[in-house]
Amino acid sequence: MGCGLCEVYCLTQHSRSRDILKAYKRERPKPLSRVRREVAHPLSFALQCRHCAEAPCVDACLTGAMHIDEKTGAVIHDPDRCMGCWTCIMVCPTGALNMDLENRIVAKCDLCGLSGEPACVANCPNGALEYREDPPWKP
Amino acid sequence: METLKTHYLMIGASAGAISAVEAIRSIDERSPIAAVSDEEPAGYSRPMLPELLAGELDVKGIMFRDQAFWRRNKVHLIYGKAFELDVEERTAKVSENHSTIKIEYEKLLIATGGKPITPPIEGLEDVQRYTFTTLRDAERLSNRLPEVNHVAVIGGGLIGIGLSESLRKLGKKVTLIELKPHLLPQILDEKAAGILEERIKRAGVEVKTGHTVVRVHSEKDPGELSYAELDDGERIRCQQIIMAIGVSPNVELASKAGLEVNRGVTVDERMETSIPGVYACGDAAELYDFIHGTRRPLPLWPIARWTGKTAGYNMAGLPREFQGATSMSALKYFGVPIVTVGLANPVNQNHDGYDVKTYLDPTRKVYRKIVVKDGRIVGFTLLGEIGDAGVIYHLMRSRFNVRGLRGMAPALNLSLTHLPKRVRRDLLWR
Repeated sequence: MGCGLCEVYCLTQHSRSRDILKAYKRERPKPLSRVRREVAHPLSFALQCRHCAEAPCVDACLTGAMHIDEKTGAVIHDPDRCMGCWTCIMVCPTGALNMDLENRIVAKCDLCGLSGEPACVANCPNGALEYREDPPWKP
Repeated sequence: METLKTHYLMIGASAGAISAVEAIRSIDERSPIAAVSDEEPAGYSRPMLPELLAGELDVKGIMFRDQAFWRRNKVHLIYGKAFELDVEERTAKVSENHSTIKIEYEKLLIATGGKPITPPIEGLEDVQRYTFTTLRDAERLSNRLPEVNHVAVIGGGLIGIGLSESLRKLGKKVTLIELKPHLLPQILDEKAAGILEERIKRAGVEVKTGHTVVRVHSEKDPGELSYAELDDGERIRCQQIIMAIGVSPNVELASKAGLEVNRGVTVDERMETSIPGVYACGDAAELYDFIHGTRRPLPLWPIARWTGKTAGYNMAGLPREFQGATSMSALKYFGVPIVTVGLANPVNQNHDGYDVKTYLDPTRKVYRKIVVKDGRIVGFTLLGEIGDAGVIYHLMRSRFNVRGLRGMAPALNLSLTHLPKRVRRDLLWR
């Protein structure tokens, strides 16, 4: 239904305070949601990184910031190694990567640190999002 | 002469070789790999050199793969220079310090990269000359710059613009000189380049387009530059000139060994050269451009990674074909995000059947352009708003027929919601 709660909880999850109000109103630099509502009524869905097994962003990354986590297979972005060249954005076929213009780096879904269900899934009021793993990841 | 036996040998140890090593090790954990690097340390990110020069990152900060990478992947890394190949005998000769090592291999990868292009300029042999494509270049420049106030950068392409930004950050006076009528002539049209140029000028760079340096002159101390003279006679008083024209494939070794070389080392879809068992990738190779339909050098980091990976899989016995690439760049210089891919600026755009759609918002500094031919996207430029670049690139890559596609107006951000359900599902469940 495109309520946008996934964005709210994602942003809060990736804030320093983890408090909805503070995260939205006070924190600087502004925390960003890594999930994005895509709406064209009647269609609406939440778009976040698909964590591709053969991820174009990882192969294209100029710095090595974008990498595949060896244990989990998740596509993880290291903000300290990102120089904001936007090459990953050029090659992501779903458009799921976000520009953090304040810090001039990319911001993406990290599956909430893989500590159980991601915030967008856990807080979807409609059960529209589910978290499912593909066949076991082999490095 | 010391002899070393290996199964895989990489000549070069940058993007292409790193990707090949990773591909090989994903299927072959055991067979010995050796890599020869004429740069130390090996494995730094070349596109990050502007960050290093500007002093924002140190050498450790620009490492694409750290030193443990070679150990972890059981790669025998040799710092030296490969100077001779015998592709019949399957040996390479490498000079390391003052000795020579002979390496026997089964599979060879030529990942020798590119070498900077230097144009003929009168008097250039007599002054200190710099290029900006290697870590060594960056370090030499860093040492030189404290003695310098005004720098002339030759070449308004990716290297020249990145370099100019770093020089401005260091407080240097910069004159950027480009032969063609506008900056980045190979990948941007006049309008996009104009917006970027305005920003570059506002950052304090003097931009001279449509001109070239014909002569450099030293008045005082021998070797000390006094001015660079343009083709219209204008003299730019500067103490340093830096060549940033681009790179051409470094094919010397391959040519001498008798490999087929055109503009770069000739390869097939598996990155194998004219000699079985010998592969080439990245800046050294001549690659298939799926938009132009021809083979040409595509000296870009991501393409070196893709072709290196393809080469690696094939070297290890897993057949993989490279689907071709095209000119593709993402830019962040001077705070202007730009993505430009393929034939974004066709020469005969009003003839030859191109359907060119543009959108310009001068206040927000947004410019977007999509070039379609026969229903297929053949190129695009996004400036200011680039978030949907990957979706457009995917449609281009997959040769998707965009006739009648809602959202194909460049004014709109293209999202998955505009795509047919089948395509959207394939992407989301990939």
